[in-house]
Amino acid sequence: MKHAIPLWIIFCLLGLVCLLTPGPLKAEQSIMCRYLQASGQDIRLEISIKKPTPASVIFIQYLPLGTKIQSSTPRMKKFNPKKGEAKWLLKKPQPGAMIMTMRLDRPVKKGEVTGEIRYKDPITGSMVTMRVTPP
Amino acid sequence: MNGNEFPPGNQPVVNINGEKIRRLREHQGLTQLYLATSVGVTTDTISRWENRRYPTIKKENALKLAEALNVSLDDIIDIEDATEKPTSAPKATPEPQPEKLSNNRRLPWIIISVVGLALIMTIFFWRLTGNQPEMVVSATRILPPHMVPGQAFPVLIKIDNSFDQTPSLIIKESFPANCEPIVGVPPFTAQDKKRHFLKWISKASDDRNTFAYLVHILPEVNEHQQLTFSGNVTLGKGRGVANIVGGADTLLARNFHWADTNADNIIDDEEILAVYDDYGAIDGLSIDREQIDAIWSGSGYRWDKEAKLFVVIP
Repeated sequence: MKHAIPLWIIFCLLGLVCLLTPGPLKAEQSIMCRYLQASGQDIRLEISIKKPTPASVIFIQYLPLGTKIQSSTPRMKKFNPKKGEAKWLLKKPQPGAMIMTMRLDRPVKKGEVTGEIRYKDPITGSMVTMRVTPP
Repeated sequence: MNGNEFPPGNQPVVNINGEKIRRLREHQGLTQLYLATSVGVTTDTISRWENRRYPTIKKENALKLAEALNVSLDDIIDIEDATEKPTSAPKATPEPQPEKLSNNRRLPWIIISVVGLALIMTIFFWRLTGNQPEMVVSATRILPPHMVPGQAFPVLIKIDNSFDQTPSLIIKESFPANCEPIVGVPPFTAQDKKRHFLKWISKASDDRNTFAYLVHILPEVNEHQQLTFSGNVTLGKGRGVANIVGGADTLLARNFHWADTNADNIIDDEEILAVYDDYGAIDGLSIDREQIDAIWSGSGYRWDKEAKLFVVIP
């Protein structure tokens, strides 16, 4: 059955409208984080940062209660033994990948440690919280 | 090939006599609709046949028409040319094909399509060129909600302009009588302590969109006293109008750190991220980042009225 207006004209108009309509504003994640080693006495994780970089980033490491961090790179900023929380404040992070290491006072099993990344999205300004779990 | 067969693609057609068809139909009291239904065509087609606008029709249709009129085929065909005419191309009426819309009915759709296309192209080119009816620049002030009298806090003015390049600007900021600006980043172009205002004149080449200053609240300010700020921003060389600096304009004198925005004696993760997000890139503002970090690292702080300083609670 033939149409009054050729279909190709209708599709062209629709296509133009779709092209010109701005899509929803969605910021791509600036930070990705993964555990390289999440068991034993040494914990290692990789934090990858893309442009635009946030002004600062907080990494939180959750540990089994009673576990302490003997040393870490970069240096840990805050530790709450009651909650088993250790925090790092990374200021002016540069784009690229960085490795964070920590040595615990006792070995842990896989799944006993998890992490969290917090930062303010540089584009939208909204607070972003990401859980980091071992693979 | 026998006489009853025609080469592939050939359709037998006959010449009909429209007047005869009309007389036969009317004589029997039949309607054009009846004939159209019987033959399988439209009433318009029957009308064209009767008006001799299509003198030749398919033999198949002619046979159906004759049957509907209850006559033989010879009674409706044209006597002058009574022979079947095989033709290599189907030149018969187009009745099996749907009728096309007349030009009048298509016209509104054409107009709608053209207008719609023109609208889309206009929007597209307007966005592409970024044309604005007038030059507009706006500014927003970021001001902490509170601070202890006798202490300093930062104030930010962020310029939001719609141009590709930052134009030259004049920013005039009025501060309360019981406050003293300590330092500006960039440095103030002018400052009048008696009339309580400061100014920046920023050139286009500076490519700057954030202006900051550190303010000291005089110790004699009473607790819970409101301190009001105001300002405006104008494009240089008289272009555009002066726009009032929007955002926060009131600070309360209270015994809380300026970074502790929710006044719970703790600088939490969100508050410290906001400090670095807003002020982290401003070098030379001399905000006490180490103290803020220490309060965040600990479990809070309190204000020591005697010593007049913040004490970090580990």
